[in-house]
Amino acid sequence: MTVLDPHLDAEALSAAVDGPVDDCTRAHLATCPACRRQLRVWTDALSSVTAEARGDRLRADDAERILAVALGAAALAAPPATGGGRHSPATGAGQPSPTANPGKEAPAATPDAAPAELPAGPELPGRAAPILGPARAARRWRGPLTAVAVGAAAAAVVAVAVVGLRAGSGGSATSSAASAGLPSAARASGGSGSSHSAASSKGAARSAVPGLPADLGLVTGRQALQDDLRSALGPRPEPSAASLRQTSSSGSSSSSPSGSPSRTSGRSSAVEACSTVAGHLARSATGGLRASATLAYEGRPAEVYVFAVGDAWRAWVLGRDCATLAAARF
Amino acid sequence: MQRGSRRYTPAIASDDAPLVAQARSGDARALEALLRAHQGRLFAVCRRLTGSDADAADALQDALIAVVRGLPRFDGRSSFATWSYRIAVNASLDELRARSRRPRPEEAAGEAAVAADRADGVAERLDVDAALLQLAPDFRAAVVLRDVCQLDYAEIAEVLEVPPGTVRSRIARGRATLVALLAGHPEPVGAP
Repeated sequence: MTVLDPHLDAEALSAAVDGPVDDCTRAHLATCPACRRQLRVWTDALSSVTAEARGDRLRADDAERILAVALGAAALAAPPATGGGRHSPATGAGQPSPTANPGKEAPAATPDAAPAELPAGPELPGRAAPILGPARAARRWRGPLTAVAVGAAAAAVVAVAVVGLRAGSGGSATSSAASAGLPSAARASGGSGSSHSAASSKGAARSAVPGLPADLGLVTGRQALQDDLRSALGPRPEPSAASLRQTSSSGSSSSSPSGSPSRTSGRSSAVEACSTVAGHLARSATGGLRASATLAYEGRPAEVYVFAVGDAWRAWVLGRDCATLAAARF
Repeated sequence: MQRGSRRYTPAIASDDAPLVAQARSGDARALEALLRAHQGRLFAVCRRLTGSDADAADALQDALIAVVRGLPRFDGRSSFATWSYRIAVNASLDELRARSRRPRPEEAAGEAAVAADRADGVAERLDVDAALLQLAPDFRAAVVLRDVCQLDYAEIAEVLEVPPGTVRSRIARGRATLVALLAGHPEPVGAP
């Protein structure tokens, strides 16, 4: 309200919407029908905003899953119970840990125990080994090992060529050396033959759904992630997936013990972080965890966990700090 | 006399202190109860700031993780509700920034269809989500905290870490734009 514009301005109208007004505004509203009308427009519009927001409800399965992830992070943030830290007796050994389903029995007794038992256990059908230290190490050393492998392959090719010229044999050696030097092979294996075989064997059990590789490689963007997963997973999951779960369960049980991370094994906290989160996810009420894989998401080491929620796939990409780097529903 | 004015109820309860203390001391059940108690209202903030359920769920997850990790450092100078609101607002704005950097062809197509439907409508009124998303993030956060979360100005100032006068200005200007969009006016209603 100014000399040039006698009507209430935005701040005055906003204050009038909120409640008691000063005498000046009250007097103006008493004599100005335009401002009274304007105030009604404001009140109606803002009431519609408030009313619509009252209908905001988080889906029950999302709520449980989000809570499970947060509690998983909390379990990691807590100090080890065995170290005699500041845990109260209520959270000590033998007491159930917080889960998304308070009524259910909690498999993880302590924050420390949770990562160790995540990969194993029939209560996680379709659950593969969550995050493998060797896989992360392979990714970390992928670059240098690739360079070494390429160099070795080139040297082998030269050597075989020389030997072949001399002895007239060596074709098979040439082909194997050439294949060892292929960038794609090095990329999948981390650059060394032993790593490749180990990663392959773990990957076979790691993916509960046939077709999903253990390592998706470099993925950039949610759309690319979605496309890769969709092509690997195939059509939408069946709502009743008992057979698939049984199949994947038997496949994952063989490798689970070897892939079980624990605090005493010397693996990084990031490994435990994502394992714990994934464990909480899998134990949540609607966590139909089907498969997991490692990847480098937008250049950052990550894990993707694929759930069957209803008739759709839901994927969560967790980074080193188990924060969500991306999520997709398809 | 004040036929247009609305009465706001206090949004932030102050009885979280025992739960917060228990959660800080390592009581996992208290932490879960605390998160459950606040999850809904934090989702409401995220939902109205991001404009979509999926993005709100992502922002809420990040916010809750930040809450549990930051809880040991929570000193109680502000209420837990105010503190968690601040985290949720920041997570939502981060989510919006991340969303702006990544392509979303499927949803973009869906939004285009919705926009076309709206253009065909006689009234041409935007819905609340679309109108809120047209506000600048600073204004949107202030309006959402006031009209959705029903915080008072002092609480909003604490959440957004800006002076109360700035809050008043942002709410007024944001509301003016919002009302104009909802009413289908080309210019903000009542704007100076």
